[in-house]
Amino acid sequence: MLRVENLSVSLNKEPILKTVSFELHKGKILGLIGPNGAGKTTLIRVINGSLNMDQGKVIFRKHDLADLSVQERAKFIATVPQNRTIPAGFQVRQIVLMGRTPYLNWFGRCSKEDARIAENAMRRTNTLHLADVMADELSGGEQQRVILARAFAQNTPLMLLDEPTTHLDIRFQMEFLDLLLEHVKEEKKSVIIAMHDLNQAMRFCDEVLLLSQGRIYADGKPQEVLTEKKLSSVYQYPIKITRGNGDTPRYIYPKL
Amino acid sequence: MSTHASWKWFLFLFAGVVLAAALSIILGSVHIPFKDISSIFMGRVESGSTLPATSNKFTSILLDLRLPRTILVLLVGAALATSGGAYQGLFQNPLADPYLIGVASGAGLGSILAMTIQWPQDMLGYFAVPVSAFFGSILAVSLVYSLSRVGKTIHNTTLILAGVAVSSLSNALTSFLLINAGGELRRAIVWMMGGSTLIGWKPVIASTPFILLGIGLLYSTAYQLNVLQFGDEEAQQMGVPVRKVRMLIILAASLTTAAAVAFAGTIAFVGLVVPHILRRLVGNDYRLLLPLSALGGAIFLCVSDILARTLLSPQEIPVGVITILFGAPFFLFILRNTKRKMW
Amino acid sequence: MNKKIVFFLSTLLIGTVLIGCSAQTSTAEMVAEVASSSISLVDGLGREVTLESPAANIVSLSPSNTELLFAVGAGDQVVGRDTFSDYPAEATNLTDVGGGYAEYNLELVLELEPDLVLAAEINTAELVQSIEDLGIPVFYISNPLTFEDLYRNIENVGILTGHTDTAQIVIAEIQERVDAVVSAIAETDTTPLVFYELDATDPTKPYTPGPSSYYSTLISMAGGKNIGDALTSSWAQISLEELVIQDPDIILLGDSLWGVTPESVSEREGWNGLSAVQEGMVLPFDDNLLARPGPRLIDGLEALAQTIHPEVFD
Repeated sequence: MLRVENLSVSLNKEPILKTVSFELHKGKILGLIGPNGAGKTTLIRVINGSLNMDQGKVIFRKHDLADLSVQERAKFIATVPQNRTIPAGFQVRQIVLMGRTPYLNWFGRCSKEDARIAENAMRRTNTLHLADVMADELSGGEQQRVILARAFAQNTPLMLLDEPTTHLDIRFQMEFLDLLLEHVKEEKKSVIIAMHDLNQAMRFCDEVLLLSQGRIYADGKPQEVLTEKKLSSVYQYPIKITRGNGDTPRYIYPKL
Repeated sequence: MSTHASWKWFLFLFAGVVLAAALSIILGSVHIPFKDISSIFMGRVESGSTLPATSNKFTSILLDLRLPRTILVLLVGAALATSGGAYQGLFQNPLADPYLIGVASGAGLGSILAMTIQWPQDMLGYFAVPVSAFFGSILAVSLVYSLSRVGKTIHNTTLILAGVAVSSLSNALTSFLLINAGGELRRAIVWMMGGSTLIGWKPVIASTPFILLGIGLLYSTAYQLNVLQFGDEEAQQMGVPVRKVRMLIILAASLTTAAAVAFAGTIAFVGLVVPHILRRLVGNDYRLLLPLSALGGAIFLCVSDILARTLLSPQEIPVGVITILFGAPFFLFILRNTKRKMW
Repeated sequence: MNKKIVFFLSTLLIGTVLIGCSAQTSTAEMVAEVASSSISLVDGLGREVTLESPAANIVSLSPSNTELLFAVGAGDQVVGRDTFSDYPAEATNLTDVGGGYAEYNLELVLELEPDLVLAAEINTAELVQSIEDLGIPVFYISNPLTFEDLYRNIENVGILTGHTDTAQIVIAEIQERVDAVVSAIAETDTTPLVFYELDATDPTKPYTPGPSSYYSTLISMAGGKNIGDALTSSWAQISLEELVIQDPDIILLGDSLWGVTPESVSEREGWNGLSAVQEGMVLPFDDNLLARPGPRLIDGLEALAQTIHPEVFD
């Protein structure tokens, strides 16, 4: 469904991503991991069109993304960014409805269908009861779910999330990822999610992409990629993994 | 904000406009008895009725001075407040005001340039003024935008600094033109504070189409402005062609400002105070904020104008002085209370 | 900032300067034929102004015009005046229509229902246009550069108000006094250099009348040389250095009206080296006699002559 070919990106003449290639199939969740500066956010921003690539191609369902207009691309890809920008003065409902923008006219006129989709999105993210509340008055966890609802409302086959659980405490992290997982599996969406928490990557992702210094260090199922050797090498710190029955990895932790 | 609540604000502000307009027509340096006012207006409504002889001067005062001035002041106030609100959304900065960011001064320069080349004698000459002001405002806003952009953000300090720089330059050039054309510094100061050109129907006729067009255009961009509040990148992710939209909003806001400034001179702080207050009351939804700002701005400037005309009668204070008297303390107040991260 | 903007800015700057320099108000003034009982004159803006009969309800927008009106005996025909009109004393009883530090109040002007408004050079062309738009005739009187110009202004005011005879008498009187001054000055053999101070808020760059002002004409007629003649605009600034180099013989304080005294002048940094200061030739002068280009200009001329050449007047 999504194919990235030989992607190279540089910012201010600094090469960030070097000939990155991978594939993602429909209905799969791909976890993007790697140390800070490895290029996770950059990769997401190139795929969603915010950044220009030096060379390479991003092809989604046979469309070269570079050929699509901003509006068309927005119907394919929704992004949940790392920084939560919630400006003051908007209700949750209004924000979630903004996810429908690619389908609305210039004036932002919403149909009943749009309203229904937005409501569904709020229901799925457990934010429907907050619909009329001013979004900037919500807690961090609630705000993140609102942004997720907006991305759901955008109704795209591909979703990109950039470290969406940062600054949330354990409960809200789990809640968020559970909701995401549920929705994604139901709608058979493809998801790329950049994560810093390796255990979450192990738990929630179908595939994992380990980035190191702009290149793909490893790509495959979690058990294949998340090995002590690979992780210690990339993170430059001894990493241990506890194992359960049948050698399945249980918990990843830094060596004490 | 539920639909019910927002309708209340519209009604309230609309009533305010009507009240302010009525006061503006009734009050002035010359006391006109209320019955004369109503008979003159009724006389206009029922054509062909005879009016008492003494009402001739009153008729002239009401219909040639007060009525056109009231209308102009309402429109100019609406224009300045609406464009102020739009600039604030565009620059994502609560301090963006057409005056502070130099757009009004640029428009003023364009306006004076037109009037210096040829003082408007006929209607066509009058129309040339807002058009010229528009070019001035576009130049000014482009300068400010490019001067104050640091990467993807525009910080308060740099925006105001750039605005001050562009303002000063425009005002200096404007003063130069005014002094050379008429040999009088006072004229320059009075014009720049919003004074000598507010007289009669011609300025009203010349500005109205541009003001209405500008406000209309701005209002149509309200939804896009809403989405832009989430930042350029996020807005683009939601399918908004950010550069095109910004360009359109800048053009519309500058047209509106230019049309307002063309004959009224640079009037400060209307575009700052009114949207700011309304934001507190109705939030950041530009689909509400812009039209309500228009109404609020009309009221604010109309009331300021009434004060300007009556406080020190027979002396007429330029209306820009009154708006500064109210606006400057308010501006300092906002500055103090803006969250630290905005600085 | 990229080159395009710099280029555009420079063009704009140059363009603005060029336009500003070339904008001028015309000062042509002619007297046209007086036909039967209606009056038709061309004013200082080159506009032809026509009245059915002499004006009976006049509003004056400047002190000099007010003085002209009263001088030709038309005081009873004036109904309104600007804030600064205070001479003669009767003028203060008239309705004040503004125009002091702010705008003229057109509502008050309209209320007076004038049949003529007299404007002067301190009024802008747009104000004239606005008043005309309200249906009131306006006659614009330009500042005189010579006494001949003044006589023409007096004559015009006489025609407009139906006091042509009085106007001629006033003109003759002024002419006589002018001749007296001129012949007295002809007896002198010195031409002192005069610095007439209009404003010295910034003592390093005080304001003085330039070569194209009537101040300059009058100073010459009074037997002096105006130091400002070397400058360019009619209301010019001279630098303190230039003043020191020129070292005027006499300093006249036109700003004594605003409290400037010879003592305060000698206290200014760098001023006490001037000969005029050391010899006590820093003299206060009533600027009202010169600032208002009306009938009292002759008083101003006489005062100037007496100050510059006291030896021929006693």
